[in-house]
This record gives sequence, structure tokens and C-alpha cells, in this order.
Amino acid sequence: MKFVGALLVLRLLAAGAWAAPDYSPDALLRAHLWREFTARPLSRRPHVGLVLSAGSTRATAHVGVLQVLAQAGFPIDAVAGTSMGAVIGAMYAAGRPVKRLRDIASRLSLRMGANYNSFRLISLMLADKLLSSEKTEKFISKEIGGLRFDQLPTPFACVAMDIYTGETVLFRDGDVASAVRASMNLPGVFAPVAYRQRYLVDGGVVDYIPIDAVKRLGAEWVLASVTENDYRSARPENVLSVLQTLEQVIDIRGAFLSREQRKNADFIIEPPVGYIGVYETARASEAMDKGVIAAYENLKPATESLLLASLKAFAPDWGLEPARAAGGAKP
Amino acid sequence: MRLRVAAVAAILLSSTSLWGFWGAGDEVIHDLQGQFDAGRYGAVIAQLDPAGLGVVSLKLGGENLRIGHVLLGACYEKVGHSDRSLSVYQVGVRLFPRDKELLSRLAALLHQAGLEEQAQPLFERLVRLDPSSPYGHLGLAQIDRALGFLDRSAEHYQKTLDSLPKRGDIWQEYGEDLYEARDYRAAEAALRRGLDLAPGNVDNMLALALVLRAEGRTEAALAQLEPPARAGRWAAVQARALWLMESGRDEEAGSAVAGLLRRAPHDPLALYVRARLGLRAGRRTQALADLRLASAQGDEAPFCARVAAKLAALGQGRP
Repeated sequence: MKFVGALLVLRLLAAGAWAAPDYSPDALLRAHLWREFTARPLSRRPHVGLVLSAGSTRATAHVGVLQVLAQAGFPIDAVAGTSMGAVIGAMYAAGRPVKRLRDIASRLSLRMGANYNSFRLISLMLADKLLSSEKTEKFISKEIGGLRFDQLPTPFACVAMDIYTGETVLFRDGDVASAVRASMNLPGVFAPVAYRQRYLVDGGVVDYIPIDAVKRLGAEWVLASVTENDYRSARPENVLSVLQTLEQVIDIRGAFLSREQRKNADFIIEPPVGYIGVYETARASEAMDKGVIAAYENLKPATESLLLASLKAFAPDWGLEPARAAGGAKP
Repeated sequence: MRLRVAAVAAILLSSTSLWGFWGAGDEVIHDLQGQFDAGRYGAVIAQLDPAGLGVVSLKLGGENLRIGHVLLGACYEKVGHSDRSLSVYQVGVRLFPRDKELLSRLAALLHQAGLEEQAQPLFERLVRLDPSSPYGHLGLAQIDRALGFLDRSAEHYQKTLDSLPKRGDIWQEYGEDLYEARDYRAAEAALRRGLDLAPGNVDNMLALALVLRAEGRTEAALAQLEPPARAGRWAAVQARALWLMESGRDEEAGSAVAGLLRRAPHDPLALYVRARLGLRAGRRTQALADLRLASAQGDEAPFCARVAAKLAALGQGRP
């Protein structure tokens, strides 16, 4: 005897509101204004900037965010990133498909970007000899075909820090791969990169969420993807460990920096990846999935925020003054 | 709740073997099945779970015990006690971890309650047990869609439809998923297939209208709105006025919006459309009044209200 409840199960599945499309007045108006926005030339709508924060493995969540934005046709007119955010941002700005970024991120390991092995690690600990991040540069260069900043299809910038002066160094020209290498050059692990008479380390130390950088590229509305560490709950297992202590210090510094910086973003997507450690590369896929979920949840409010910011540019064409207030003029 | 389930499971697990020897026979379960089919859910519950604890306490053995869990869970669902259904199915799945029916019922119930993180692994287990399980794939499709994994969701919809090709509602969901993923051509094909199977489905018609508009086929989209508008779907009536205005057919948009506002004078979307039409025709004062009125409808449509407020402010020189 078999009790077949298949139809009941199907009814349960079919009855859910999770799949119901939104035909509310808000949804209809959103779709209408979005059509208006996307039909306009860049000069007659606000420029959209995307900022990808630092965060090492956690920052692979940016790939998930990019996946949702690309899927939705969300325009990205300029990108800025720091550290791992710079790596992902550079590849995206170079036109690498999100699927490729996902493939790369899911194979992420410390060896990918460094001359890391047991011997080198012992050298780091005992002989005070830092690792080299040269492999990062070679990898990026190969991936984006050795492009310079001015050759990128989407304007891009990234930041690093001068280890002598503490200055933020903004990269907007020259070779992309070497700039990205400098931007993700974790201090205390990787040797500073010599670049134009400076010695550079990871930009996350001074500019965790490089909003100013994307604004310098002309962005008028900024969406920031932030992958901060939740250092208050994710305590290092061993505070006597060099790498874990270093990670904790950088993360705390990043959290303090981002507290002020995030105020300058128009919209923030924050995938809940704070519990993932810098070196937990095996969790990159998990981080990317968190990025997808967070971005999808925020897609509607982000779209609404952008559309509201765009009304000033639309208004003159609709017979509403002041015409002078149109956004879109590139600084 | 979790403690209750765990405790119940422990009791059941410790006594199941005894029931296996001395459990009730096929006649009892056959009788219960008959009562379930006749809609006497209370009677089935009274026999299987007289204390109302969400536990099968009638002594049953083997397959009959399994069916007892399905029947009791289904009865509790029927009488609106989803929490007790959940307990019953959870215990059932622990006793019969490879049973597809109990798994799919538990997963569906969790999914319906929005507990996707708990539902997803159960649907995945179901698909591992039966790679063509339409319920497993449909559950995963819906969860992936709700979370934003539209590509994965489309794959699961395809697998569901391989087994259930005559389900118009699932073709519709699949079409909506493809629309969201901006695969308009495939979305149109799926939605048309859904309409062939369920010709009167106005939600499907509305979804198809959206796809046609996204493809730039405004005339076809407007035509597709007619049946749902005639069927009284307010969204179709609103969309028609908006799309007519959008495509520059101001006169038709004007009469559509006048009809809308006669029936709902404070409809924020209709007020927005009339304001835009008014601005085009040089009726600025009236347009700003419409925008101000729309801006006060935040409870009904917060985004419409914010847009109207911002436009009204811009019109008054307050950017």
C-alpha cells in the first residue's frame, strides 16, 4: 500500500509566494524608470561607480555581487578596488566574464599569488625574509593580456600604500598588473613592491573601501561591496601566531577605516562573510554564494536608490526645471 | 520545538523495534487511509496521535509506521497545524531517512515556511536519492530563484519540466525566472507554453506582457495586457496606462489614466502618469499637484511616493 502525496507536495511547492512576481505600483514604476535610465546615453544619466573593498578571501564575495549585477544588467561605469577587491575589479574592468572570475576564485590558494611553500614560510618566520607577490602580477597580467589602465574597457583604479610615507597611492595609469600586485601586497607577509621610487604595500591599510578613487574616475553614484572582518566575534584561534595576529591587526584597522569611508557610498552591499579568515581560501565558493545572496536581496533597494538619484538628470527632459541640475557631466 | 522533536524522536527510536513485532496491521492503516480520503482528518489524528503531541503513538510497524507518519503529517497540514506536521515529518525522516515521500513533504513544509537553509539540503538529498525527482528539482529551483542563483534555478526548472511537462504553472515560473535572467526569447517560449496548457491564467499573461515589453514589442505587450485588464487585474490596467504614456501615445494614456483615477482617485502610479502627461502638455500646476498627492501615498507605494516627492521638489526648484 502506498500513500501517494505527490500532488499535495506539489501544491505546497506551487503555493509559495517566493516565486510570485511583483506587479505592485512600485515594481511597475521601477521597471519604467529603469528602462528610461538604461536607454539614456552615459552623458545624460549619473555615472555609476562600483567599489570593491579589501578583505582577502572574504573579498571573493565581490564575485557573487558582480554576478548578480551583471545578471540584472546593472550598469557599471567605473570600478575601484583595494587588495583582493583590486584583483577582482581589474579583471572585471578588463572585460573578463563573471563566470571566469568565479572559476578563478573557486581555485584560490595562497600559492596562486605568492612563492609560498613550507621552506619559504620557515624563512619568513626564522630569517625574517618576506615572500614575493610576483606571481600575482604574472597571473593578472596573463589573465588580462598585459593591459594598461587606459586600455581597459571600463575605467578602473586601485590603491596601495607607500611604506615609507604612509601615503595612499592611487593607480590610474600605467601597467594594471603591477598596480594590482602592489594593492594586494599584504604587509608583513609579502615584500614591499618597488614602484616609481616608492615601496608599496597593500592598500587595505589606508583605503579599505576606495570610494574617493572611484569618484575620481567620474562616478556620481557609488555602490560599495564591503567584505569587512567581524573581528569582535571572529577571534583568532591563536594570538601567538604571526599570520593570525597580523590578520587581526589589519582587519581591525580596516574596520576602523571603513567606519568613516562607508558614509560616502550611496549604497552598500555587505555580504555576511566576516567570519571567514584571510587565509581560508577553501571557503571562497562559500563567500561567493554569500555575495550572490546579499546582492540579490539588495538589488531592488539599490536600483531604487540609483533611480531616485537619477531623477535630477531626467527632470529637465520631462519639463521639470532646473535644467542646469542634470547629472552626468563627467568631472 | 527542536527539543520536543528530539525527545519524541528518541522515544520513537527506542520503541520502534517493539512496534515492528507487535505493530498494528494493514487493515488499520487501510482504514485510516480511507478516513483520510473521506476528509475525516480529525478522526485520523485522534487515532494516530490521541494526545495531540505531533507524534504517531498508535503502534504500527515497518511500512505501516511510515504511512502512519505521512498520514498524520498530512492531516495536521489539512487542519492547519503546520508545527505538528513538521514534528511528525521530522521524526518520520529520522526513522526512514531514505523515504522520498517524507523527505519531500518535510522539505516542502520548511520551504513554505521560508526556512530555505533547512529545506535546501533535504531537497538535495531527495535529488540524490532520485535524480529525476520533480519535487526535489522544483524545490531547489524555487530556493535558488529566491536566493538569486537564477542560472542554477533555470536548470532545476528544466529538470522538473522533463518529468512534469504538462504543468502550465511550472512553465510560468520557469518563464518568469528566465525573464529575470533577461533571457527574453526563452522566457517568451516558456510562458507561451504555460499559456497553451492553462489558457486563462492571467498571471502568465501579465508575465508574458512584461517579456514582450522587455523585447521592445510594445504593441504586442499592450495587446497581451488586455485579457488580464478585462479580468479586473489592477496591475494590468495600471501597466497599460504607464506603457501608453511611455510609448508617446498620450491621448490613449490620458483616457486610460482618467479611467483609473475615476476608480481610485489616489492611485499613486496613475497620478504619476497623469503628472507626466500634464508636464508634456504644459499643465505644470496640475502636474505638480498630482505629484504632491502621489507623494502622500507612501503607505500604499513607498517608491512611487518618493519618486513623486522628489519630482515635485525638483519642479519647485528644490533639487
